[in-house]
Amino acid sequence: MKTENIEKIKKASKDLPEQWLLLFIVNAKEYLETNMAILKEVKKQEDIGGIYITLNRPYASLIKILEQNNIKTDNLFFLDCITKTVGAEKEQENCLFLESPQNLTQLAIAIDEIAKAMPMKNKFLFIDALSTLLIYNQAGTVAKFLHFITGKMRVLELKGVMLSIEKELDPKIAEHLEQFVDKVIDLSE
Amino acid sequence: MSSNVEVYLFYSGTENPHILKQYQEGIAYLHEINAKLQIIDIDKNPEKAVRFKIVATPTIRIKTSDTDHRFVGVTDGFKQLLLQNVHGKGVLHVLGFKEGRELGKTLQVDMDNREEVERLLREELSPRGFYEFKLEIYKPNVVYVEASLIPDEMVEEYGKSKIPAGFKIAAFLGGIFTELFKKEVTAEETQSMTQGYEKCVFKIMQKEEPEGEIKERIRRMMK
Repeated sequence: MKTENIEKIKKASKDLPEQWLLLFIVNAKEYLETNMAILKEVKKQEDIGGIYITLNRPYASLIKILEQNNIKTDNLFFLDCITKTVGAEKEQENCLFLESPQNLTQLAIAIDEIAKAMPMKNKFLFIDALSTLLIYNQAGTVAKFLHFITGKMRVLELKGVMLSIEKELDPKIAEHLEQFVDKVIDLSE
Repeated sequence: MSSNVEVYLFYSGTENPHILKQYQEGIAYLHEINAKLQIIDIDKNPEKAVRFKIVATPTIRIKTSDTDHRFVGVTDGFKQLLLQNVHGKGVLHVLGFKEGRELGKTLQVDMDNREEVERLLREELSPRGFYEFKLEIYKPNVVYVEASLIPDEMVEEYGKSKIPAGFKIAAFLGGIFTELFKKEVTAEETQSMTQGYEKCVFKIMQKEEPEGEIKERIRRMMK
């Protein structure tokens, strides 16, 4: 990954309000590497725990990658929206397997319930990736979901990171999102 | 991710003389993604066959950042096998769904006309290697479809699978019907040729878990 992008990630996490929401536009080729760098930066905060929504990579595969990147997972809860669509899941103590990436009501309920039950002082929501939500859902449905979820995040005092692969983000959604997020960080160049 | 992929092809020049030609498409794909590729003729390198414990040819070893799998006796569908193992099922599902939506956007049909929907999809799917598409059950008013088809190639055909293996085809159909119905739908394979059935059957519907059940599962997880 480019040093310039690492600097951009570090810079993005400075000078933020108490509750913040960041949108990272990521290059598809460097997606995994960038994703890990952003998560590491977010987890640097004291007494922080998070909800990781995975839409591309099954929990079993993701957890191995996090371990390889020395990212501790004991303070993370996973919402896996993909495993059930490609095969059978094995119950995990820190992962909830949701029916599909189309079921946004289920996803919203899960975020709400888990965030309320998390004991940490600082909490974050990590959406990997927003562009995948747009593949499985109509743009209007995703827009409504984001409107609801960003409001909910403020109420639940959740910090937020949304990742999106460049070019796959609907321009209308991008415009809509800019109203809700604190910063848009473009790492796609 | 691609740079983390290592693929080893073990073959016997005398027993599988044409195998590299059959693997041509997959080999080109590996070059395209800058994967590390080693092609080993065990007749010329018997010591490598011993070191890597090769008991039959051809053997393919695909190593990624989180998996390390071996496949023995693969002759067809090498590229499909690579796609599944290199990218993982999750990414393939996403790509299949995306591809389906792109196709669905180009189609115009009266969804209440079952014959027309079936005819159009049969015409569109055949050139893509999915034959004899048929709407087994079709209830557009409640967004429920059961459809069957015969794909020309399935990765899992090498070892008969106990569970349906056509998740990418299911994703592709899910994407098509998302556009046709203009609604979010899920699609799953309910019976597969890899299980010994004569054709693959897919169920396309709107799926929702009751709120109470999801809350109960969360409560158990957060205990």
